[in-house]
Amino acid sequence: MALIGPQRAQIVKALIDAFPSYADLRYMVSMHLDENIETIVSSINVRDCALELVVKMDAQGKIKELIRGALDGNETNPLLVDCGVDFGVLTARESVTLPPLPKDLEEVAHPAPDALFTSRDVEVTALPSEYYREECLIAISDARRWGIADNSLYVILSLQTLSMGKPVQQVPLNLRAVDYVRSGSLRINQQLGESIGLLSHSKRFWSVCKARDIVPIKEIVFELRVERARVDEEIRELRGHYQDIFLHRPLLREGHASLRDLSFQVHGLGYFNVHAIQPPLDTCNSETLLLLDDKTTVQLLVPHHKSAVDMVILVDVSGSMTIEDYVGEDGLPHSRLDGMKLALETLIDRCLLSGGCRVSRLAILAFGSTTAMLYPTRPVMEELTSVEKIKQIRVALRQNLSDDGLRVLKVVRNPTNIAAVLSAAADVLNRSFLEETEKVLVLLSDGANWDEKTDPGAEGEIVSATEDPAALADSLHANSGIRIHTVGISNEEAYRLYRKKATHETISGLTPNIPLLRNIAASAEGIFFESPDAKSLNRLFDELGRGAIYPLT
Amino acid sequence: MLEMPVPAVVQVICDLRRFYFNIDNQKKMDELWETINERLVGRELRTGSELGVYIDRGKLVRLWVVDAQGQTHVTPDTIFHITDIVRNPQLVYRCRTCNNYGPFRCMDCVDTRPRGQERLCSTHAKFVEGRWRAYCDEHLPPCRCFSFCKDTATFCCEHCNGFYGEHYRTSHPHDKTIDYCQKCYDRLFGHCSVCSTEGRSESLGTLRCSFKSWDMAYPCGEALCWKHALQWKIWGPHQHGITLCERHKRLIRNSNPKDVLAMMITTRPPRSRHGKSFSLANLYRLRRLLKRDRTESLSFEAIVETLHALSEQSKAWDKYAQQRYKEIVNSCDKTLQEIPIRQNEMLAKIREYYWDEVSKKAAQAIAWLTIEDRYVRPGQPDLFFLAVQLTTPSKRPYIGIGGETVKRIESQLSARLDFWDITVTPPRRID
Amino acid sequence: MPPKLEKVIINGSSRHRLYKGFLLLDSNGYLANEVLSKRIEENAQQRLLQRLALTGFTLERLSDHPAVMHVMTPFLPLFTVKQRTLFILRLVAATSCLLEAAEEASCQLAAAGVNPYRKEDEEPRALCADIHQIEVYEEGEVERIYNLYRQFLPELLAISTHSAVYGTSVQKDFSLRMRVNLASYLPRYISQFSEQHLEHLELFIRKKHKLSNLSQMDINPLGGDPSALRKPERPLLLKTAAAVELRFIDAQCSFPFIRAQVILLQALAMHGRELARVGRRLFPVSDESLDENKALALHSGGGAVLRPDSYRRSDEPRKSSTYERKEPEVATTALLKLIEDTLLDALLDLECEPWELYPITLGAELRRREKRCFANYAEYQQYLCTAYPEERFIAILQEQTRLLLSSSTFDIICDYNRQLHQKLAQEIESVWSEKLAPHHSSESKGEAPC
Repeated sequence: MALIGPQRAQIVKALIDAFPSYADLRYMVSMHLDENIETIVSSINVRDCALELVVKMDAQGKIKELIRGALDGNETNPLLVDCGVDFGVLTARESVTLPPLPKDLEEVAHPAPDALFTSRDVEVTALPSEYYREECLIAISDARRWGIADNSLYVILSLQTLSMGKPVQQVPLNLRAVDYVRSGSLRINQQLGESIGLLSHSKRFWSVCKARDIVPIKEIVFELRVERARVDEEIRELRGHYQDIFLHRPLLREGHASLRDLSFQVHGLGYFNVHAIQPPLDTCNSETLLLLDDKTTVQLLVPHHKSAVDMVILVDVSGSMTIEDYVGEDGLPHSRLDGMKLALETLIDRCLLSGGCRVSRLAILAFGSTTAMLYPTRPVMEELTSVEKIKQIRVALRQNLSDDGLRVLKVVRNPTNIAAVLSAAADVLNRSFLEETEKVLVLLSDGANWDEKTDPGAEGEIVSATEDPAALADSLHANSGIRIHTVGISNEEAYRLYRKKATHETISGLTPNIPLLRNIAASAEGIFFESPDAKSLNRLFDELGRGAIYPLT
Repeated sequence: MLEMPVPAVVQVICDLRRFYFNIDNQKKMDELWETINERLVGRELRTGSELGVYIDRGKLVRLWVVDAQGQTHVTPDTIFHITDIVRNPQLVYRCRTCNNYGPFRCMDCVDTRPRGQERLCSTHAKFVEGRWRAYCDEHLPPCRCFSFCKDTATFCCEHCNGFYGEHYRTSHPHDKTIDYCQKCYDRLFGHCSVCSTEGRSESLGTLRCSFKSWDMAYPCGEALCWKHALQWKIWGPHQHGITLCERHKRLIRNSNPKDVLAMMITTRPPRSRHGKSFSLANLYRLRRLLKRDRTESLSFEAIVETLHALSEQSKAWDKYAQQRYKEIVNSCDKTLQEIPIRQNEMLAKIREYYWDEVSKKAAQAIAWLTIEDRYVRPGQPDLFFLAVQLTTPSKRPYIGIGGETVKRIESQLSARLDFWDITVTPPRRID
Repeated sequence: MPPKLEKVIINGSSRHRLYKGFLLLDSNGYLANEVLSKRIEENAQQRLLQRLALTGFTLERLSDHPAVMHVMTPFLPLFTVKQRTLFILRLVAATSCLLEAAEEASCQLAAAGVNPYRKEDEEPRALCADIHQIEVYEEGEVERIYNLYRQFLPELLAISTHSAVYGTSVQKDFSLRMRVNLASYLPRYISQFSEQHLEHLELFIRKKHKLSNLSQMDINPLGGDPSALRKPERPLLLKTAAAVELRFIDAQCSFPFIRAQVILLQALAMHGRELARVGRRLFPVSDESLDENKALALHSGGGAVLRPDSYRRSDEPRKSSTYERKEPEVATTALLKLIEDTLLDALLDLECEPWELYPITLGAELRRREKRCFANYAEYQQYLCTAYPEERFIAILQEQTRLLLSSSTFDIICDYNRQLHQKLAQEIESVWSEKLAPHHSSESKGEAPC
């Protein structure tokens, strides 16, 4: 590079600024250019020396090395840095060899051999709709021409994308042949067409094949992705327009996609994730179409990321809990009370963990026929502010859950009055009520020794609100938004095995009443846990703070 | 050796926040520059430093040096680049009180004052705690307490979002930053009235009696704890019902059917579960509910008439209650139309049956039948309860030996038959 | 002859601060633990202190996860190409301190929203973002700039996604980080920002939107030192400053890409500043519409089709806004329209050269022309993951990450896009040279709009 005057002056000025004396310049040249300055310049005047250096280095085509070396000697001098930028020393482009792009990701426009029709066969137009639905219409004549005998079938549209990472996008569709669509056209739901770019005069190739595997969904729990201030309104809308939004819509399992890979687009709400599905995905083949039909139970999980959670744990200490039919992880029989204590330990431990669990306040009640506070001593929620608090809770439980402890607390153990403890727990929660806090009860019980007083056929009776635990659970949920999870300590099968070995007669009041526990959980939008082991109960905490589940059907 | 000087460019930010004239284009800036440039010569330059120049009293132009480019002092050769002119924003929106920047608007003044007069600054805008909406002094909302006090509101209730004055404020029992109006506080934390009467105050009155009759402006609203609350299980024994206090439990049996139906329709039903819907859109079911504990049962026609009589009242209900009402009325109307047809069909079948099975005389003695009730049974045909009116006092021929005769026809019709003797007044059920 | 005023920008940019995020990984690709992380941090901090050119640069731990580290720059002016180049060079130098410290501990760095190499108990807990702070001078600016960023959040988010691969599996979302981040909240429209009434505003937002404080929003109006807003004539160019903070950008691995992002963000801020100074305000986009588009953007990245706002509240006047989206459009195209319709003048004031924006604009322009290409690094991650078997993918990504984090000029997606569409890329580049040529603007002299 042959420098012109101003450039030369710029470099000289920068050198003088960065190395104000001849000695500094000499040091820099020696250390960073590996040269002896005396062999390059003749003057020891710093200005002349700098100029000579620049001229000589320029003549040798080594200006960039000079600037590089000067920067190594003084990287902070702003004039030098400017030179580094201006002369491309600092901004030189590295030459990097990139791995070649694999051929199989190049654009292909070949239809699959079993394609019913392709983008070359039809013109796409919009089918106006208020809702996003995977629907499209073709003319009956076209359908027959392409060998489509049914007037309504499910297909998969494979569309070339513009992304290198995902060259093909597959979209499930309900294809209907109708007589009011003209031949040679495909009318696609407008929202869907816009979102996959089919309506924007795109020249991208697509083809349509029949869906081979179609599996009806028995149950599905969607997860709301957006944040809504008024969730109850949103839920009402979804329920009110259930048919338009959900019914007969398909989900496609692409490849070996897992639950996390499924999503369900909904107009106005972006998309829903899928939180749970029955049948499980691993029982379905790849490219299976999962269909929401009129038998599908649809629920929506609304995450409550911002909400705190108040949890009250209800501990059954009634007489039936002394039966030793609970089989622990060691394979040995233990009393139900021991099983219940294990569950309690797990719950308390999990309250400590960060990263998802949002139990901010806790209370624990023991019950049999009467109820008593195990922790705290007053009937209010206690804040979990620190690890110390958890330790205090453990100490309190150890003291109070013994026979002596329960005697001191005056808990009458028989018969079991589940309704009384549910209402007492609700009072504890409501007394500490805070807006927008999720309220959860966890009932640890065998459900035994509870007599159904209500005639299931009775209708229109006026009875106490605490007559029936399931009805009470329903009321608690309806009135106060309380969710109730139940954990079954033991079950009928375990008791039956225990009885075989036991010498005493069967006492009906000792048989675990799992249906009751299930009903209570179902009535209050909770989950029933069959077992008190840690793995099952972890799921409870995964649900907490995750939010509330709302049935939509 | 020739050395051409490289002109130094100094980057500065021009700060006119204390200049008070609006400089918003090149021309104005150039003019301003002319007045200050000479006074900059000789001033020290350092990255991050300030060059301040006063113009007239109180007007200050400040240049903040972003990059001095190695220069230590301003010389006549120094070239300046201004990267930004930091200045006070143009006051398009001015506070009507003090003329300073007025970002807030009193929305009530928008309607009542000329444009621009609704604007207020941070100091003159008034707020109610809990709401981000500005008010002028004149339009601060009044307290909405029941005593119609003349106070201005100072806070917004966390629960009902109403505005109230200081006298009506109560803090959450465990969090002083949360405020409620007295009414909401009582609603959320009030005690059960029965427990209170008994001298115990630990139970919260979470539930409220929903009883309302035509002469009551509001429902009873008595606060009850779970133990003392009663529930009228109109949706079944395992679901919540309509909450009633002890007093209104006794009154319900004699209450006006119109009031009772209104209560049933306006109370929110349980959500449907496991495919089961808790709708009251079933005329038979309504009749059963209304019949319970009452001395007289209403006819289907009376019930439908009563439903229609609620039409005017229903306009004041919320949209979900109105939706339920419409559904119930439509369903009951339809059922009412179907009843006579079905009665005729069943009558014909019963007569034919007894003509064949018993005798012509027996068949002719069947004067009429009415459908008394109908139960929906999942997975099975509906079960009818029929009142068969006879012109004979004995039902023996109709029952048969061991009840076989009647069982067969009951099975055919999916019904239960009751026989009534209409030769006496009033008609008598034949046991 | 008195000193000359050669150039004036009436509504210029302000200083910028970046918290550049990195994931510290051991040699097997697992997240570094507390001990390892502390060791690397101390080592890197020492190296930083030795480099005078990096005065003001530090390492910060902004997350409770030990494997997430941020290099924090001071507030720096980025008004010219040179200043931006220096900013990037210093950032690269600071990164190299961290790289060297990591290598000494037999560790490596990743710059992505989540760990692309390994899963952590099936739950991505280490979430890594690049946090940008743009200096603001007064409350009116905060209001406009904040609301402007909020309005264009979906577009900016779409282009910034960089966590499409987690533990060598391609995720459904382009930004898994934003999907699972419990501390991400939609920014709400703030009609009147006032530092004096800040507590009140926070209480209101807490009540209405259940946000415990404003700084948790994806766009935080209280970044930096918000108390500076209370002092109307506070000196400028201090070490601390009030700022609007952007928290939704996944950690990026390419410095040229970061440079392009910085320029866009500054240009948008300049536009907001201009509005504030002439007293104009923005019409609000509804929270619902923004929420929907945000969800679509993190789900589909640059290819997301953003929807118009159909949620206008009945009490809002139905005047059209300059930025109103009338029909659905692809996010990359929407971003291009934003630049072309609104930001060109600001870019000219920033002396932006076309090559500075190519990491974003080249891919977006190719997409607008319906060409298959890379729009951003999330797509590149996906591509590597699907094109190569697992071991090869890990090796390539590691190698390329190291290259990218050591270079101020190397941008893979630009290079590939040019390779894929050579001729078209040249045409696009010449179009952009034309757009950003100084004669193009009638307001290059800084005439304020009437």
